[in-house]
Amino acid sequence: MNKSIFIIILICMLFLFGFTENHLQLITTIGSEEDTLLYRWVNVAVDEKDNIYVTDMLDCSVKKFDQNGNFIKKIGRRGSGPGEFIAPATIRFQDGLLYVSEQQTPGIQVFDNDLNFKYKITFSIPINDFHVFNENLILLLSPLKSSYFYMDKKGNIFKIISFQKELSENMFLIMKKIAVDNAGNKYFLSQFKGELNKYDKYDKKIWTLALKNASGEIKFKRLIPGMDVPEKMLYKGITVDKNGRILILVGQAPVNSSRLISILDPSGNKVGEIVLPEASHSLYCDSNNRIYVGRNQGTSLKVYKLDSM
Amino acid sequence: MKKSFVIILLVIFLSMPMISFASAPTGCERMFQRCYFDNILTGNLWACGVGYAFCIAFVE
Repeated sequence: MNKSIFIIILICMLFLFGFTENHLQLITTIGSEEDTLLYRWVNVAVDEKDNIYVTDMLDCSVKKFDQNGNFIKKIGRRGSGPGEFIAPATIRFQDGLLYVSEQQTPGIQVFDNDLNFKYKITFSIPINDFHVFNENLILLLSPLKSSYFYMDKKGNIFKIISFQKELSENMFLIMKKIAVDNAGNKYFLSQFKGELNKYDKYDKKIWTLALKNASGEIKFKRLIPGMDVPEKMLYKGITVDKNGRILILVGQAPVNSSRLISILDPSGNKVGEIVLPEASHSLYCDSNNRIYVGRNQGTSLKVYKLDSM
Repeated sequence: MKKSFVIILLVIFLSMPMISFASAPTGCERMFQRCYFDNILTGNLWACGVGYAFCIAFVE
């Protein structure tokens, strides 16, 4: 009897293991705890030749690798001049240009794909995330505003779209990440509220979805007067694959926290999930359906092929 | 008298994060604390929030 149960459990485990392996195929690994290629990478972008660019926050730099993970070039040192960073954060690639924002300094530095500094877009609003449609159409999300902004390359904000009025003024509940599909639909993920909003390319709201993967409610701690901070992050990242499916990295789950990727169709229906071999802080999917995730506190980056399901 | 009162209030206000962190602060909370003191005069506390969010993203 016990032997039968053991065999059934074994078969189930093999099935689960096989399920994961069927959907993730390791392509490339960049960096490890034993080398100094990456100190703590934060965000990743990929160009049309599949070169990989990462922001390394601890190294105050942007690094370029080829598609096989070979190091090509690095730019940056600590500072506030052209090509210098205090804490580089979000990175995006569009039309041959690389856009890099900083964690605590408003503004976006623009480089060519050989990491030569081109110009800086200056503006006063702190940004949490952004998306580049073209050089003169950049969408910004601020941790202070329950809106998103459209800006040109000179930093002029020419359009503001307000989200539905937020009940709380807590900046963490306002914070959002963005992913945009090939049709121009925008998905806004509230990382601490567990909410997903879809807007079409004309900025019309299509739907709002209360996500259910995360475990429990977010707990806040009062660290200073007037600012409660969350103890955990419910959802860590959002990206869209080439088929228009929405991939969300779940930060807090009953099992597999920071490893579980929930897959939704464009209507918001859950169509699958993937469990990463290791926990990640970030998630990005390129146009070839390769996903980029981190491990070991950002000292290495792993690239997997996302097989179709 | 008034000056002393203001100083006492200021000390209490500035100590509050210390009091909150008295029980085993995490690395991200310590970072938030440093940021808070660095930015209290400029009022850019949003930067501390953004930094804290980046930090806890790396916490499993």
